[in-house]
Amino acid sequence: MSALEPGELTRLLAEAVEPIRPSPDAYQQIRAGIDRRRRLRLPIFTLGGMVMAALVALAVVAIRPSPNNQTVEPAAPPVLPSTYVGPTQAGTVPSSGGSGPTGSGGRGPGQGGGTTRTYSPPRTQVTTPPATEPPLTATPSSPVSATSTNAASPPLPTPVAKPAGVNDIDGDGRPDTIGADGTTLQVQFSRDDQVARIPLTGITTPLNSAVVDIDADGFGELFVQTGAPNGMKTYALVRYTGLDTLTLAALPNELPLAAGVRGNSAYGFRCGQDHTLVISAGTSTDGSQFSVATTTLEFTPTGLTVQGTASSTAHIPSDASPFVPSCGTLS
Amino acid sequence: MTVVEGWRPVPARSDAARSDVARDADAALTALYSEHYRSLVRLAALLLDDVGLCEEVVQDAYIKVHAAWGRLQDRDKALAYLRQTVVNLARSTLRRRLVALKHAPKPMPDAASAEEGAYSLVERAAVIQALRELPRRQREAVVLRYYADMSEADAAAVMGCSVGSVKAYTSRGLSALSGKLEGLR
Repeated sequence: MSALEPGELTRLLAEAVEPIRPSPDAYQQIRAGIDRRRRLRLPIFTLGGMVMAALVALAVVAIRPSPNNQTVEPAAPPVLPSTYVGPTQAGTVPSSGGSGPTGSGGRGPGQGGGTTRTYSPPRTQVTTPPATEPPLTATPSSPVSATSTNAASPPLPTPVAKPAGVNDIDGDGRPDTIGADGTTLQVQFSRDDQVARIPLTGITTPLNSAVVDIDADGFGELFVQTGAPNGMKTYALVRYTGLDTLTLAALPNELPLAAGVRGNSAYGFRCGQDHTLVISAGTSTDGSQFSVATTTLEFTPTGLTVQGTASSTAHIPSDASPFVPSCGTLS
Repeated sequence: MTVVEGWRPVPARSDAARSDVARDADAALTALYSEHYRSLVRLAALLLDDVGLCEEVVQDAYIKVHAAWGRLQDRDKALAYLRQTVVNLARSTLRRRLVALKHAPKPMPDAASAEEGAYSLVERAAVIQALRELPRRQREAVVLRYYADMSEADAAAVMGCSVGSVKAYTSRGLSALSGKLEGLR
């Protein structure tokens, strides 16, 4: 078999298709096709755009998250067991400066205060207010931020008597035990033997404290001396704000809870007749003639509020000094 | 997919520029038609297994080239693009015909047709019969190389394969045709 030459193949192919003649209306058919394509272009593009828009809309509808009909409520804060009693000695959950599980219960938050909840009572030393001034040399207790109201804090129990009895903080008619462990105030409640702890900088043992039911609500307020720098005694006021809950109260307007004369300034406080706490602040130019500004504080469930102010003069030492602590056994 | 060099998308034009492009396309279409329509129809007749479809394929190719005229970067290569379009459309037509033949009803008995004319002469040519027995790639390579007189590189560009493949397809096709056309020589 001889191979087919390319030239011969070209000739055969050309001869084979030689009879083909274009149709006379071929050009018109091409022009008609072009015109038909041109006419259809706009509707096709329009239709394509509409289809694309529909697809995009469908995609948006499909992807869009469905409206959530379920109402998600925040979880309630954990409620601390208030009456848990450990086997022998349980841990302490102290909080200071407003951090931690602070609470104020029905009496609301006093300004400043750390609340300590303790669930087991290690029997600590029982301290009664000493007759003499303890050698407190530390700095005054550091200011503690206001205690916020904790919805989970236990409510106040019902007091058995109004006003409360001697050293009765929890209102059960029996005296509670007050002590100190380092710089921590400890109160063991006679109601359920629980111990509350509050860190107070400057307190030392023996503790100088007094329980006075100033507002006569059946729960005693606790005064604790936190220092005596340069002869000026400073105190902290602790309130019973819920079952086994103590709150360190702060005075409004940054009034100091102190007693004594230091140079040309002097402070004092006393428990008023109408269930108030009276703060006296004096200034002098010669150290004997003092201008005294007296602020009367009222106890409210939310803390201490200013009921009224007055001014007077006092000559030290001829007049009775208003610059002493005069509440209960404090003097 | 076959690609013609110089083909690229172009940015959108203004109405005035678009009308200029349309006028150029019309002029180019007329020129391409007068110069190459007949040869392209014959090329399509060699690629297709139904000569009656060759004009339809070529006319579609002209319409497509006219529509795409604005996107043609090198208009000197319009003929190459037109040839490639004819080849691609011929392939598509063959593919469609294969599918149609699979599902076609029983054909009617052959009857003499007054329209057969020149097409019947072509259909009866031995070289055409031998050509249609070749595989599609070999047929394309032989037709493009020896009828369209294209170089191996141009044929490779139109067929969308390498030059080596074109050589192989051409060699095998030529050898097969030699055996089939032995009696004609």
